Order: sequence, then structure tokens, then C-alpha cells
Amino acid sequence: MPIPVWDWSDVFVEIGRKYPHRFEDFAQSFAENQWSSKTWMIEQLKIHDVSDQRNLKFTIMGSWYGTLLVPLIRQSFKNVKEIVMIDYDEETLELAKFVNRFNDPNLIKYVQKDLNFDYDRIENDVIINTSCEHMYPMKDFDIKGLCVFQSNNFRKELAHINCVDSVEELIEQSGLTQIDYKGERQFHKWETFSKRFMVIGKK
Amino acid sequence: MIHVLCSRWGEKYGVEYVNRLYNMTKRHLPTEFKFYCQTEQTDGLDRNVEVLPFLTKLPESTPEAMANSTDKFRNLPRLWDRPKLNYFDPECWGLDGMKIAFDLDVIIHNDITTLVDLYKGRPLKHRSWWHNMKEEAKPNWRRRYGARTNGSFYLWEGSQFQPVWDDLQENWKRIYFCFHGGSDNFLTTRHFDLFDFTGPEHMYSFNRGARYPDDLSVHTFRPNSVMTLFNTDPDNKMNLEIHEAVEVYPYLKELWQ
Repeated sequence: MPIPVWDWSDVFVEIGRKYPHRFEDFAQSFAENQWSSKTWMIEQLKIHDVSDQRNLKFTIMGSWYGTLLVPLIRQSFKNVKEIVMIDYDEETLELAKFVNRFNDPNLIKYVQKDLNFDYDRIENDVIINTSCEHMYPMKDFDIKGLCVFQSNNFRKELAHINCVDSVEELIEQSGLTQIDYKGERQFHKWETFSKRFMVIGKK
Repeated sequence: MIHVLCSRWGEKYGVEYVNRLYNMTKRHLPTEFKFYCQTEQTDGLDRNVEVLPFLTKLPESTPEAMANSTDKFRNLPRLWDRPKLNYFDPECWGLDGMKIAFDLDVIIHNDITTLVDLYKGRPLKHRSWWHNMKEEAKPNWRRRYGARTNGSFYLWEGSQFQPVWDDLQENWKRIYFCFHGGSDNFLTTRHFDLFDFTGPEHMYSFNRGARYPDDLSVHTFRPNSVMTLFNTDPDNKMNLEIHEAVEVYPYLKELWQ
């Protein structure tokens, strides 16, 4: 199953009609660096033992619209049973529901919470957070399951309150004790200093 | 009797900022009041300014503890104006009755009673009317915990800030970490609904204007406002602090005495 980009046509119409202030944000959700980070994660998860499990349940922390991640998860793993999308922003989740409107309504759960304050315990088969740089350090969360954490050193963005300079620093502040994968990639294609880091493992 | 508070730490603003704030309050608040400054720097303070110690009920909130913190964001302590959070202590140094807190970088030029009369039982603060509200509605504003209010002025009574104080007591570590921009970002994000707001006709920003989109001229004095704020944006080289503005605009010098 490819990414259903044809669905986004209707999404843009919906954004133009109801959420014009969001068109730029939505467009950024499938920018090249988003595609790169999500596909990198999926590539690594697909060769992880967890991919042999059936009926996997995922939690996405700071899910945004799930524009890329939800279809990538669905096409990459067999019989995905549940995807929990947690995001701080009510409107983001309203739009996420529209983006994912053709999915089985029981597949995706939408939870509006500010993870930095309102959510200390998360348990699922796979817990994904591709925006650790926006959040309080993950070691202070009680997380049970396979963790997939990404962060970066791109400090120019004011919303990045918790950047790291290396994958080792990400591991340290994640509190992961079992490391199954760690790596780094270039963050932008036009400059080499900024890096994205990823770690997969368990607490 | 109204208690008027301010805070001074560090060297950004000299003691003359405190003394002039006291003088301006005296000229423009016809009600009986007492004036306080939360500070350790007592040299040169007007004798009518009562000194308040920095409270230590909030961890790492004194200027010294804040400066010693190793957890910085862009070379500044996160939530860099932590000492102002002490205003929200319901005990508030044992001061009963109505309280007003001013930032040091304001010029008061009309009767403060106008602001007092706006009080309808909920704390008062200024809304950042100079913002483009459509920009505020954009996702990135929320993602950055962007401020929509300005804390140059607070007016409150009793324990109205109890929810803020409880939040701080329970979540101080995360609050300091996340709201690196300062107390306005914190209050906007977590306690916006606690407040009533003063209007753009009551105060304005000398560096940003009064109200978006039709009254945004900067470095323009608005004589009918109660006060002029000098909030600055670190990325904007056009911003003027009061001591800079009075050199360029002599009429401000007469008001800032």
C-alpha cells in the first residue's frame, strides 16, 4: 500500500475551508526531512524483532497529523491493532481525524494531552517519539514498551526546548538501558551541521 | 490601602528604575499605598521603598540559584524571571488586600485608578494586543508555548493566584524547563483563563505598538494611556530600553522622574 497522497487533496480543501492558518504547518508535515526521519525509523523497525509480532499496538507521542507515520506503520507491519496519537493541540487532532478518516475507526485513538505535564505513564508495544527535542527528558516518563526516540541539535527553532548534541546524549536523557539501535542522520539536506539522532530500545 | 510591588535583581536596570517607579506611583495613585521592592540590592533605594526578601519557597527561584543553574537555554536560565513568580505565593509576604505589581521598565503617566477600577474580582494582566492574533492561532505559536500576555502589570487580591502557586509547587521542574521564554509564556499556556485583561487603550508597548493591526506605530508616545511598556525583543535592534528612549525622546525624560 503506498502513501495515499490522493487523500491529501481533500485535506487541503478542508484546511482551506476550516483551518487556513494551518496550511503551512500541514505542508511541513510531509516535508523532505519529515519523510527522511519517518522512513529511517520504519526501516529500522522493520528489521527489529518487534516486526515479527502480530497485532502490534503503537503509541505516537507528539503525533502531529500522522500524515506520514500512520500510513507507513499500516503498510509496514502486519495486522496493526491500535495506533494511539497523543498531541497537545486540539485542532491538530481534529485535522488528524480528517486525514485518517478512511481508516478503521477502531484503529486510531486520539488523545489530547500536553505530554510535558499531563502524561507520565505510557504503555504499549511500541512507543514512538520523533520530537523529543520538544519535550521534557524521556527518562522522567514511566514508559513500558519498545521505545523509538528521535531528537536533534537544531537549536535555531525556539520550540526545540531540549536539543541534544549526540546520540549518546539522547540515550542518556532517554533513560534507555537496552539499546537495540542507535544512529544519526543529516537533519537538512542543505547543511551538514544539524543532525537528527535516533535510538531504539527499552527502559 | 494598596500594596505596590516590584522586583530588582542583576544589573540590567539601575536603582533609579526602582526609585522612579516609586515616584511615578506616588504621582499617579491617589489612593493610600505602600511601595515594596523584592531585592537584595538596597544601596541607593528611596527610603519610602520597603525591601522584601526573595522568597525561597520555590526551588531554584532566587536570582543566585537561578544564575548558578547549569540548565540554560541560549545562555539564559530557563524561565529567566523566576523571582517574579513569588508574587503568586498566596501569603505574599503577609501583605493583605489589593496588590499591584509593576515591572521596572514602565513609565506611568496617568492615573492608576483607571486600572484599579477595571478590577472585577479576577486578577488583571495585560493582553499582548500588539500581536497579530492570527499568528497566535498558528500551530507553531502554541508549540513554542508562545506568550499572549504581558506581565509588566498585575493586579490581584487575596489568594487568587493559588492555582498558579499550586501548579508551580507541583511542577516547578518541568515548568522551568519548558517555559524558557519566561513567566508570560507559563501563564499564557497554563493559566490564561484565570485573568481579566486590560485593554489596548490602558497601556501599550513603546517598541511594538498598542493594537494589531491599526495602531502599531513604534516609538510613538500615546499620552492617553495609563502607562507605557518597554518590553523588548532580543532579536530586534530597534528596541529601546527606557534609559535609551529618554535620550532620544526628551518628553519621556520628563515623565520618567
